[in-house]
Amino acid sequence: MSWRILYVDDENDLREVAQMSLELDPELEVLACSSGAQALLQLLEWRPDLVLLDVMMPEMDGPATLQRIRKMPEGQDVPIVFITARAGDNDAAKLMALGAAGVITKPFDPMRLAAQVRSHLPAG
Amino acid sequence: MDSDRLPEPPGSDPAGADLLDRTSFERHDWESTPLGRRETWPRQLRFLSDLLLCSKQPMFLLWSSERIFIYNGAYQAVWGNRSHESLGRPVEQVAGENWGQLKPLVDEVFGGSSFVERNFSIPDGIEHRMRYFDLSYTPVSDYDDADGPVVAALCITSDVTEQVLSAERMQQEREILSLTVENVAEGVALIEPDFSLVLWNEPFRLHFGYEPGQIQRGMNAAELIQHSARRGDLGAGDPGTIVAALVQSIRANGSGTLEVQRRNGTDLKLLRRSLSGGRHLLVSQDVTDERRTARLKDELVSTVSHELRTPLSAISGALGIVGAGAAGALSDKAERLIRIAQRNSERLIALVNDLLDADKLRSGKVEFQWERIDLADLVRAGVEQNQPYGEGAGVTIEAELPAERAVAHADRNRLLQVLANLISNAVKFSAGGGEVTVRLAVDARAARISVADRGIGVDEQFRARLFERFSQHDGSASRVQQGTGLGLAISKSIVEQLGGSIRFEPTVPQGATFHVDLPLSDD
Repeated sequence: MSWRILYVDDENDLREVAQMSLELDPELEVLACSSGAQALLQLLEWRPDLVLLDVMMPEMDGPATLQRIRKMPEGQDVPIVFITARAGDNDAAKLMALGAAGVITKPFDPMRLAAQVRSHLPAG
Repeated sequence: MDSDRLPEPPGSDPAGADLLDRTSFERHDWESTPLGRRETWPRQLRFLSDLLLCSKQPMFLLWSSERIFIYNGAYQAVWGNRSHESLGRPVEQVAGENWGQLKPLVDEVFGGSSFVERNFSIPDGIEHRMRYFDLSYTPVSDYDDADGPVVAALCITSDVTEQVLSAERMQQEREILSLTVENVAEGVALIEPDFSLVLWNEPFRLHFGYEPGQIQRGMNAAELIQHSARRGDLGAGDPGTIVAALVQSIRANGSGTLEVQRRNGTDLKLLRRSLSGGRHLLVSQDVTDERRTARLKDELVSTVSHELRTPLSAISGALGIVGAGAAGALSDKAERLIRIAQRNSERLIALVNDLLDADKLRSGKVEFQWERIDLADLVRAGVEQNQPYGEGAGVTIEAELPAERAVAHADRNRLLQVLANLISNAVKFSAGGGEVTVRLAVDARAARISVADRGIGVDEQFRARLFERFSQHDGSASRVQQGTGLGLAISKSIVEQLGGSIRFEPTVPQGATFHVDLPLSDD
């Protein structure tokens, strides 16, 4: 059984590190992209099981991307987990209120990132 | 007014005689005066002089066309002069060189006019200050012939010094007040109980953007509020509702503040205050720059948070993967170097987190998750969480808990943060092993959590700055302990915002103890 994780972040280095962290789990298949617009495209083409979404991105930020995904028939049920450098109790609560499945704060523990993401995958 | 024109009873020896009374009046040497012996006086003169002698009011009389000067003891007292010399003599001789000024006045009274000369000043010989009198001049007609000529001028004086001085004081106070009001940067407006505007300054007009001359003394303040509301300067919404709410809030007793943003973007802070007598004071401050700075600072904090954390995330993530051997096996040397890099990236992350946390706590932006907390559970959890750190330093951490249950209304995670700060400090300063005790004690109203070590203690000079930001024990280059210098400042902020207090006490015989006092929740 393998899961498709779409990781969206405008930071190249971090994207690479996060992808490597997630791929430490052999059952996770990771596709990384660098903008909300690309994420919408990949959602249609690649049909991920979960979207890991950076909050602060130029043009379309994380919350805006989430709202666009939710408006697509293919994106209504996919779990979306935010990953944010703006850690704060209030920020996390606001993100959850948008309909996120979870919030992971940067810096993340690379050895635990896959497990954190897995906990938000649908059972099975 | 001056004292030159009044006939002063002169005398070379002011204190020599008694003030004039009936006896001394009767004994006066009238024969040497133009009036002659008293028995020969016309009835009306005798009546008038009796009137003067009976009166406690300072008075004088100028009798007949010769203007003979007769006065009473009270009038003498006004001048502080006890001589009887001028009694019964023509005023022209008594007044001397002042006669030129006095004559027209006297002639007017003899011509039939009565009038009051107000606030006439007379020097008070004793205290070098002026006394003030209202002089009321009345012509007296021959009482056998009411239409006939005026036979005397009667002058009744009343002391109005107190009224004059208090009016002067009020005037001075008003001047000081208006000077003050004119020279402050704040806008000031004073509203009477009937809501009329009686005092305002230029900053007030400018803050609200009223035209010069638009504010009129005595106008209804509600009109101005209405004007501002219609322009959208008091926020969005129905102007009528805004005016009603604001008028009601100004009328309410006590004081309060309100912030509005004008349509042109100016931020105004309004303070209202009820004064005695049902008046209201409005003070306006232009806080546009302050608000802009605060917004910029918020943006800066958020940007710094993002801009620092993002590269740190990449660094610590990469080090984490390499350090765990997940990117291939490492030589011993490489592994040691990776550990150093990891430790230091963790330090940087902790510093960024503490900086942001301290800033949020200081600006009151932290929303606490209030809940009822069993403090014994909390202490156990705190000790457990920090045990690995203690073990790494060879320090044992022990909890001492009371038999009683202690429940506080507080934020669990924030209290754990405080405990982590205090315990890690205690471990850090327990050089080369030792013991840290976390003790919970309870009395009727409060709980005390004490974290005690037997380490190197805190220098006397440093104790006062212990809870300040960036104050670190041993701030010199020789400093061996690592930390952000923010832990105690953050802990203090948290504890105080949770309604408690924190303080330091030296451990006897050696070491440091921090006490956190928290109010107990009712139950």
